[in-house]
Amino acid sequence: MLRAPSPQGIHARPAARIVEAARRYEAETVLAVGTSTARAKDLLDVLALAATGGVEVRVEASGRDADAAVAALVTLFDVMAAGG
Amino acid sequence: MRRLQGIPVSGGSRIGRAVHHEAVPFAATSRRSVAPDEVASELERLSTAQREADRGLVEAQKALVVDPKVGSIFEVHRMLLEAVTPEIADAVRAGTSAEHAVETVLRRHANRLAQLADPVFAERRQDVLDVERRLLRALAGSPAPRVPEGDGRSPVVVVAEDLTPSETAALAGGRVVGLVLEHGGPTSHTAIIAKALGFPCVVGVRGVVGAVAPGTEVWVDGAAGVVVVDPDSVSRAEAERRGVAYEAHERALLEESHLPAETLDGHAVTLLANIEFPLEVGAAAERGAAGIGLFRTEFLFDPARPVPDEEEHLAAYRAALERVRPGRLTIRTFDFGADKATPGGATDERNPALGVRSLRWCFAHPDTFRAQLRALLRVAAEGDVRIMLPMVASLDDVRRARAMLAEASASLLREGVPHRPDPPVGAMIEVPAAAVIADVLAAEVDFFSIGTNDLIQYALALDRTNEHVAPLFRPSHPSVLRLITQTVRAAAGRGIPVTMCGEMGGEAVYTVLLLGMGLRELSLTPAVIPRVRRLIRGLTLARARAIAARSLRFATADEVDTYLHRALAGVLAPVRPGG
Repeated sequence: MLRAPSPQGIHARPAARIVEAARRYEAETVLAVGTSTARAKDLLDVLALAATGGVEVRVEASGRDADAAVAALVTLFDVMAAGG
Repeated sequence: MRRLQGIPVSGGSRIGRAVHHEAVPFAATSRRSVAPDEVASELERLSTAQREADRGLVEAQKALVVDPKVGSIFEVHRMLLEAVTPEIADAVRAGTSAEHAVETVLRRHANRLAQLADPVFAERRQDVLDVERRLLRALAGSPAPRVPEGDGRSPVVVVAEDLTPSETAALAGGRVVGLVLEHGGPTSHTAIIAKALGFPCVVGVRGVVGAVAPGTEVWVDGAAGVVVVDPDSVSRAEAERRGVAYEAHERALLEESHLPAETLDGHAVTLLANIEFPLEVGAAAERGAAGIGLFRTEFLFDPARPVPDEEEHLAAYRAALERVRPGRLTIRTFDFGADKATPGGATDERNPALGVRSLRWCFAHPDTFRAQLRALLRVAAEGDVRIMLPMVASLDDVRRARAMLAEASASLLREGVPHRPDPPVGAMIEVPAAAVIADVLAAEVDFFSIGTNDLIQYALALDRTNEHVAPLFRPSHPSVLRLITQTVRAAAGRGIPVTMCGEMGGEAVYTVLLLGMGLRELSLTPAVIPRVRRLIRGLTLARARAIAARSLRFATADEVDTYLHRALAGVLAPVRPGG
């Protein structure tokens, strides 16, 4: 479980960074907030998640390099949480 | 005369003649589909248009480089453009014309965003539509939007339903003195750009497009969020007075940037800037910052390449140093959040704020940290570079980081790479434990920098982004004041400098309190430096000391704040606009 970066949540720029990270991997990565899901490789999908600051975000991936894809996203969330 | 209330976005008070902003017309094709043998050429057109649109965005970014936050809006547009291109191409491959594919794909995304309940996200719709227009314009070979001219003589107030960020940016440098939007929110990218352009802007003014005929005089009072249509002579005089006061205030603050930040009784204060990108050094210098007190390095982390290499670090540090020389450049090592980067994300930290973050993260990723340390030692040979360690909680943290620096120096020496083996190394004081043992730490570091945001969070055990407890986040809590006092005293005892790089230093009442408590170096967001300078120049240190002495005797944050606001009413007036 991750948290959307505060205070603005996954708005445009964080979303773009998430997509950029997800696209480096073959795995299909899915972000979920509550009952909504978004394909992590699709910027507009991620934006439409409307993940506000601090909400719980779940990450799941399937495919050959799924573990690496999840790890990359988890690291990215850390970086964003730190304001990076 | 008619008065309309909206949401204030950027200050200033100006009168101009209304010009309705209309979307730039472009010769849209009516063709919706293309024959199979035309698909290849249609894809070629699309790709040319995409390159053209991207080039335009790069230029828009450069033109607004004064404010990196604004520049990044166009960076996002570039990413949006890139994100939608494959989808558009797929539609073209299925036999749709490039124009129709652009419209279909982008409208669908825009509508989806528009339906979101959260306004911050719903406002991103404008960004998507902006990209759409840019692409359609490029496909049609239409010129870029022009600055509205009005009658060619009078100042112009642009009135529109809504504007895209690009359209707003295009208002720069012309006759436009104000912007009024029927829709839009204060957090939209359009609003951010209007603010950066420096003219008054009011958004969310219902019915304004219908209420204001083109050519009508309009007074935009940005600070109040009020739009007055066809102002009478009394209103005109008031508009004039407010406008002059606002501009004089802003100009005067900036013009004082070359003046020393010195109290009336002759005590100098060093004003430094907190920055995130090398580019921001310019904004800091314009405001008379003596150097950079906090250069965050997290931006170097690119998710595409998990580990920035030594050369990337070095290039960024050099870029900043070149601009800041001969001033100091204090670089903070990676300050990442909790490390949950376990493959599969299975292990989760229950409490990331207390987990593997900042320096702990660096120790857990020695290769990443080593690259940063080597680059820091190398750039330190080229100017006044200081290394700042975040989240120090014990003397062991300092020793471990110093040992890694020594190792890095030894390896550079072996390789014959020029570097400075012993640059100043400082500890951030942001964990209460560090403040409590500040005397111990002071013996082994070259400077302190107090980070109030985390210090308060940890001292008061509350997360200010949690709305339920955010009101309890009080810099004036006596415990926080005591931790700061202790840190300042420990630094003085060892003769090492102490800076404050938290937001607290830029809040007027606390600036005075902190000076009185003995701080002589403040590192601030560039934007607040002029205000803080003026505040300092209107104050005696003797007074600040008396105020601090009294503040430290109170038992609650409320008592401290009430006292500060009462005692400083006269001192604060000159730093408020219109005052």
